[in-house]
Parts: sequence; C-alpha cells; structure tokens
Amino acid sequence: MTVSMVKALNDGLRQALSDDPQVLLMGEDIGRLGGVFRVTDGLRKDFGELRVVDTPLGEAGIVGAAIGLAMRGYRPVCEIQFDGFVYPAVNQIVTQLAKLRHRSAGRISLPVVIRIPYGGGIGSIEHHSESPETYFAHTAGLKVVTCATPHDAFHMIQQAVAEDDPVVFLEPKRHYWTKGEVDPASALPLERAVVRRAGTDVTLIAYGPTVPVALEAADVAAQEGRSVEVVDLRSLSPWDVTTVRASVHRTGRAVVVHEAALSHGFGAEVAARLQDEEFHFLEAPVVRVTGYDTPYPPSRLESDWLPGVDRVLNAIDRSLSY
Amino acid sequence: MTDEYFTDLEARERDLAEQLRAGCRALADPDASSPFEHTYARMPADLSQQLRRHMEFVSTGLQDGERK
Repeated sequence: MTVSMVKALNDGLRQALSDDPQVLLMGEDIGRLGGVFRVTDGLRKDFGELRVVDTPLGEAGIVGAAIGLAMRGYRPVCEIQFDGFVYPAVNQIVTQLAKLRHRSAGRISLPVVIRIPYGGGIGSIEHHSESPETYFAHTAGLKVVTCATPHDAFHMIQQAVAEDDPVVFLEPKRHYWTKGEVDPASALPLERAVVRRAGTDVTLIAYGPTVPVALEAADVAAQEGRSVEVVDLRSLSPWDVTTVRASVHRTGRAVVVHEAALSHGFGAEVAARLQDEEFHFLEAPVVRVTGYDTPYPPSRLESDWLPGVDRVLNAIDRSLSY
Repeated sequence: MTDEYFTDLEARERDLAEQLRAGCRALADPDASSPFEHTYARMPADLSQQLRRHMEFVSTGLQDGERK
C-alpha cells in the first residue's frame, strides 16, 4: 500500500495500541485534535481518552509521568510537539529515563518512546526546525532512531514501542506528507542501517530528512558519470558501523550529510570511527555536509542553510578530487 | 526539647555516620566491568567492544600513572 509517512506512523501506532493494552499515547493536543501533524488522528476515538491522553503543556511533566507509568508496567509513547520543545524535558530524559536501569542494577525497565518531529525545511523558525539528535545519542541508556520512509515509519515505531529500553524516535517532519510503499510483512531490525542505493565511487551517509537529499544527489551524480552509494543509518544509537564500514570498503570515500550543526555533530562520530577502523581503505578524508554552528536561521534563508543537493554534489567532488 | 536531647542526637548521628562509612569501606571493590552492565537491556555491539578493550587494559595490571 502507498501512504504518507504520517499515515504510516498512525497505522503503526494503531497496531501497537491493538497489540498491547499497556501501550498508551500522551502529549499535547494528540487526542481531540489528533496532533498538530495529525499523526494520532482518530486514535482517541478508537482507543479512548485513557489510552490516548491529552496532557497539559509541560514537556517535563509529560516525560516524568511517562517514567512513572513505565515503572508501573505501561509502555508510554510521548509526543513532543516540535523538536525545540523537548528541552524542558531533557532533565527527565537524561537524568532519570536514561539512567534508571543502570541505577537500579537492571531492576527497573523504562520502555518509553519519545516521538519528536525534527529538522527544518518547513518554513518555520527556531524551536520548530531543530536537530537535537546528538544530545540524546551522546547519552548512555537511550536508543535514538530516525525513519526516512513511510515503510520504516510504520515498522520502526512498532519496534520502538516493543523495546525494553527508552527510545528517542525522531520523525523528519518535512517528509511527513511524502508518500511511499509500505510492506507490512517485511521489516529490518530497528538498529540496522540500509544501503538505499548501490554505488562504487563514494558512500553518502545520511539519516532522516537528508536521506532523500542524498538520493537526489546520487541521481544527479549518476548523470555526471559518478556511481554513488547511499547508506541510510536509521539508528544513531547504537549505530550500525558494520554496514557503513562495508560500504566504505567498497568505495574508499565517505561523505556524511545531516541537518544538525557541523561541530560535534553525528558526522564527527562517523568520521572518527572510519579513520579509526578503516584508515587504510580510505582514499580521501571523510567530508561532512551539514547545517552551520548557528541557531536555526529565518525561513527565507533556510534553503541555503540546510545541506541541499548542490552542497552534497560539491562535497562528492571534493572527495573524488582528493 | 532539651540540650541533653540534642547532645544525645548528635552522638547517635556520629555513630551512625561512622557505621555507614565503615560499612562502605568494607565493601569489596566493584568488578571493573560493572559500569557497563545494565546500561541497556541487551548490550549493543559497540558497547561490548568498549568493554572488551577496557577489560584488556585492566588485565594488564597497570595502575594509574605507573608508566609515567
């Protein structure tokens, strides 16, 4: 079936609610309204207001309450309305949610999912266009995943709900309305990266909102006679270094693309691991194409600020000319 | 509440604190691998690799600063 990412997430959450009576959804405007992006549309009507809960406007309270519910055996799925709204909840996420398993020597499991629409490209401003992934990927005890297709959205949200560890589930909001094929019978493991396009000259490593950018750049590069492989990481913590290493083994070159700022971004982790473990196979330094080390810009500037196809192609040129 | 009450309370507080400190000091050192346990429900491959490297280092028996 062909559906939008929003519909795929809605279907996945519906399936999770049907499969396990301990699953419940909570967040701002997710019940009566169905969420500002309509990801939870219709779920309160079908599962009731005790399982699809409209919360007060307080992210720390949402995550704090979810931690308590998880300690009592529930599997809460929290919606943070926009990426930049998660910051009031960071204390709960980092000091409690991520740490309680370790602090209790394994006695307490917190199977909480925190859904966050993230990234730019929708003509909005700071707090509504941010990429906070490395705050969470840097925190031991959390899993951090991000979908790039409706198929992955449908399966990964269900897999995240079934996890016994807390999962930060990042949804690339600018692709919410992009449609794609969903095969309900076929799912990759949650933590596995996938080669979206095979190639031999250079590996483009992307995740979430930059996967379509990388694929488009690969198309253009192919017209110029360059064979570009595209790897979709899907999971940032843990991340599938094996698949990335295998790809770089084949191509000898790597370009990492993400919207988050350059310095201390996930691309730095990828570059460090590749030089550490694949140094003798690299034909060129790992190149990063990212947002800049600034707050998110006004919407009229975002198309230049975000890593677009031309900047990715320039990076491919740079790698191949080394 | 009399002065005697507070003097007695302080003495009991000191005794209890000393017992707790002595109890903590008497505990065996945690295993070097224990910080890696219970971070996740199942240890990810990367963390297993970090644990392996850490235990290799620990098994050398080098103490901090020994190679200075």
